[in-house]
Amino acid sequence: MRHVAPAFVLLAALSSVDRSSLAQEKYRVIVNSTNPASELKRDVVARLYLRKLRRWPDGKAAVPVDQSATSAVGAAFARDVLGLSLGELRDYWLKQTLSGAAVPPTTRSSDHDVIEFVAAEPGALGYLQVGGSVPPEVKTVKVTP
Amino acid sequence: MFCRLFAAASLAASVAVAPAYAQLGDKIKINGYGSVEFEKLLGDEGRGDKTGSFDSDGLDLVLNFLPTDRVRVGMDLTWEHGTATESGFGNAAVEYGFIEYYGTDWLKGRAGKMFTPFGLYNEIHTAKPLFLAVKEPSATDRTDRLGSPIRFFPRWASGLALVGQGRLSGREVEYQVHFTNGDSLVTNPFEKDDNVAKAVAVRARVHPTGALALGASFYDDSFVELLADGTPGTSETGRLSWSVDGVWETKRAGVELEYVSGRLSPSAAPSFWRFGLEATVWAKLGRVRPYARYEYHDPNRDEGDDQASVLLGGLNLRLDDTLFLKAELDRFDSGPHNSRLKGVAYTEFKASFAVGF
Repeated sequence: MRHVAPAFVLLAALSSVDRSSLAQEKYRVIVNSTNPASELKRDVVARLYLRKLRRWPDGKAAVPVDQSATSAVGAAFARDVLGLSLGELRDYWLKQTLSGAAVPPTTRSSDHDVIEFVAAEPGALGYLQVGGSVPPEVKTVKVTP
Repeated sequence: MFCRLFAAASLAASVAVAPAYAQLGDKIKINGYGSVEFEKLLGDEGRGDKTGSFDSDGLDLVLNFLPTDRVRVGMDLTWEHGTATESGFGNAAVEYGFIEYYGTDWLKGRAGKMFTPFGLYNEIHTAKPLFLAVKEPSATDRTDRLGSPIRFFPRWASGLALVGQGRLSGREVEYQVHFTNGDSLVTNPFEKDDNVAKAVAVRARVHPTGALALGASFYDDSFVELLADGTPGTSETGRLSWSVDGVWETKRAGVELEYVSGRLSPSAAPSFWRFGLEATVWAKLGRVRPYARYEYHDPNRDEGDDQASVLLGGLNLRLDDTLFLKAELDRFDSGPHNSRLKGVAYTEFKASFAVGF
């Protein structure tokens, strides 16, 4: 019985670490390799995706590419970076679009298509599921709080 | 013609500049919305719909062309009330059709026909899936329904606009400034102005927190008055309106307030002030959003017993990501001198399907 309590503590700690790492690794943000940025503030990424910011600091057009709103990576990105549920994000773009204010980013249906888009567009910004490799035309940037 | 020209030019430009990795959908965005409504007066008296009617309220196609990273051509083409031109029924129109040039986030220029940026509802008044109730507030936006035939501002205007947004002291700020022909009773105001003075519309909005938005609007124009026989005269009526609004919305509930005040200055009569207000509260219970709204409108502050009010309550049910079912009861009340409602109180049932995609 004396060994049970430490075992629970260890199990709980491992479980906690596992959840934490999963939460951090549901997506990664990529840019074209010509982009000088190596890290981006989460707030900046959010404003780029919500089209409140449309240029990089060097004046180049920022071209975010989204994934399907129903994909797991799309949902995680919306929640963690944009701070919105999928429903809130859908409503945000519905209002922007129908009122004539702005249009949403372009969308691709897979990581492969996102990589292809970002590799070809110098101002592009995308996100992928974790894992897998990316070609040299694309690089991962760190998203900071 | 305007739209066809825009569409053809933009489509050609889009295709011409699209690189191989791009898809047609990157340069052309197609969206839309529509609503079908039902109204029925409960009781025998009042201005409500006595027979109960289905209204094919509108079907709109929203198109955006992005020929370059700085240019957008946006348009909203509408078919209202089951448009049948052979019979002269309904209406087909360009709600808006403009060219936007992006300079910076703080400075975008627009030219064309645009919604007047005023208060909370004008730019979405036809896009029924974007708000809870069956119709936009009358006291602030459709004052003709409550005894003020001349509204606080025209729905649309042709001209130039500056639009921008950004951060000031860590807070999101957005603004619009429009310089347009304004309203007209005798000429097509989207083609020719019938007076020298141009209309000015300004709106600014700040988001002190993520849940709170505060806004203020201003509108000023003048328009030619009609003579007794309906022909245009040479005198003008001046119109000045301003408003303040606020929206507080969390994941569980929301509150919205808007107050509009305005002055009309006819050439042959004293100027007078009028005002309207609306307050809406709602809850978010998953797909169901119960709501209640109160509206009050005074067409002339110098006259007594001409006010009108509306108290409504209903349910907005999200059937699907894109489809909404709304049902509500609207209670109208007014003073005996109200030019439209004549002091007769009545209740109307309203319901609608609204879709947005």
